[in-house]
Amino acid sequence: MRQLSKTGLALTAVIILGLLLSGCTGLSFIKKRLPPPQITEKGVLFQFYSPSAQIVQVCGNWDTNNWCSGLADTGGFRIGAMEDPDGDGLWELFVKLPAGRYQYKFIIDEQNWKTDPNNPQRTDDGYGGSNSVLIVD
Amino acid sequence: MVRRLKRYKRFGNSPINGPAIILLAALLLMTAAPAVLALTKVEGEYQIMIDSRKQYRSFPWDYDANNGDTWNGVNFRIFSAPFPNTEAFVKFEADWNPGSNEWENPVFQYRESHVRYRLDRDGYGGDVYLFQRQDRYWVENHLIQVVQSDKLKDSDNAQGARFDIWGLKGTNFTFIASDYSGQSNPGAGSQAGAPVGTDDAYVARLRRLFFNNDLRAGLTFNRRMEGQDADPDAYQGVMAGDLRYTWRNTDILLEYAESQSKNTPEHMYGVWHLRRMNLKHMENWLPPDAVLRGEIRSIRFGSPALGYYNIVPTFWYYGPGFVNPLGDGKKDEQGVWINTWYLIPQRAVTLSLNYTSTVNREFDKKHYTEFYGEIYTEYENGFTSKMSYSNRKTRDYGDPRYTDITTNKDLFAEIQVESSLAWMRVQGKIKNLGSSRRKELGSLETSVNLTDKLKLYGRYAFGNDPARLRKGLFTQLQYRPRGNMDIFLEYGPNWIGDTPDPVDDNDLAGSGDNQDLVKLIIKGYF
Repeated sequence: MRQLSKTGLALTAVIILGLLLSGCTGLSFIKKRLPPPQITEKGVLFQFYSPSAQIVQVCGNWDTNNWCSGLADTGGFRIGAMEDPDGDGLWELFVKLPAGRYQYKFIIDEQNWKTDPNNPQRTDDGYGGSNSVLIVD
Repeated sequence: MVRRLKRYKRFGNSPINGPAIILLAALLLMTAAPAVLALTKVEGEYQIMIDSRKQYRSFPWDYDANNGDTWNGVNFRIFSAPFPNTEAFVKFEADWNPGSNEWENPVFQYRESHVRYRLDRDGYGGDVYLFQRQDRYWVENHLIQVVQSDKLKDSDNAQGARFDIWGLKGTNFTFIASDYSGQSNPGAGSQAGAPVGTDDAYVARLRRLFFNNDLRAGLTFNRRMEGQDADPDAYQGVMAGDLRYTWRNTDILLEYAESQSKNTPEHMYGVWHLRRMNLKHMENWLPPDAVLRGEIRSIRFGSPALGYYNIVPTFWYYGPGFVNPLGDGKKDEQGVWINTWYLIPQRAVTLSLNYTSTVNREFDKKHYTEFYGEIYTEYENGFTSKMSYSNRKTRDYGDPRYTDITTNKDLFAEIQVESSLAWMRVQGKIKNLGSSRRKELGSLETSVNLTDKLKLYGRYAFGNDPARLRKGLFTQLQYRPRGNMDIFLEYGPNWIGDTPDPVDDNDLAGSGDNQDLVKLIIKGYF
């Protein structure tokens, strides 16, 4: 096991060093990164890339969403539904949020919950995984 | 994931009281204005479930209506804006689920309501809610979860009033007064037919920004009046303060909270001992009924060309006597969490390394540490990959004669590929690596768009225990004839592997095994 840990660490270090030395110019086979949620005049912009999805929802712990169970007057089971009008697989949603620290995930086709791969800020979700963190101040 | 209509507790034959007044006010508001002026919407949703299962090989298939998994319901929502800045809302619901109600034929019942007045002029404004059986308890929390809605909404039976004011020189203020109506039982009062006294809750939050928003200061107060029938003076609550200062794109946060109580036995009072200040042993100088949390978000090293390495250190102290009935309920815990990540510039490669250390000195007597490393990459051809390694160590000091040490080393790998037609994800995890408790867990998920309205999803998960191989096969045909309707036909136990990472699911890591189960779900909204 000690051997495995050392090998794993060495491998990770080599990968990072390689990426740094390449100056990221030789990484054309790696996709360009989407930005994490951004605060705009229209609200917080959430983005998620999933070309095969038929429905993508953003679910978080702000009051009008409440992990996609919503408030009474925002009811229905499609709370937080994102939009992809041009069909390019990039789903987007603007949400007006008051100041606070929020946790969120995306649900794909009402079946798969996923953290935001473009937001490295995370916290324990209490179920063995993690939630993405968004801070609005 | 099937969303169930909310459960609710049936009301007794109560006289005219708070709920009735709010309901009446909502209905009166809806009818008060001429119909031509009022904006009124009627919305609703419904769900029908049928399930047939085969418990064991020797039993035949059975339409089992009493398994507790089926849930049928319908609700109507009436929303009205009779005057400018005013709204009224009422919801009625009928539902059926074995075990949660006894209705042979579900009847429509009052579910929830609110009336609201909101005024917003050039960034200044206010918002007032009178609500009944709704969750209107959200307030701004950052590091310390001083107020959590779940602790206030009394299983969706609470009622109250909420006031929000904003815009006065960067100041926001919120006040909520609420009552735990669900505790009311007309048959259990001291006098025949009189309801017992119910608990009340109060929440207040004040925040203000200073120095061009570089400094944020906030105060949060909560109080729960406990068991008012037995002792009208008894209460438990918290007073908390929070600061955030921004210096060159780095936020420095510090928050402090202290319990307050009267006539409640579990409160442990204490005082500060600043002369004993020591960050490793905060219990020596902080009161036992206090919480202190701090965070720096984030310390960055690097350059735009090489990318930045971000470090977010967080520390916390929850005293053994801290009691917060309206918050996250944490007590007797000290810890530090160091969250770090490195983003390759422009490209979707993320390296995360985290370290956690928590100590429970008073009750559990455990010290828990974890190292976690992850590398995540997205490729141009639709592939993504993720690898992670975690090493957790739990030291149990419960027995003073020796320390029991448990080590859990987990190795995780994932490959995912997606196009506009289909998606596939393969995950593998070796749990408790290098120990006799080792388990291999794996999952294969696929989804295929058969048409733009029809999708087939499948999940095969297995858990290889030292004793036996367990498996779960779940398949779901998803049909969405319209934007507001779903029809799902499912086979298999959906609860095995239903977490964001199927190999992390407790049912899979525990003792979950496949079952013959077919379910039809039709749901929609209008």
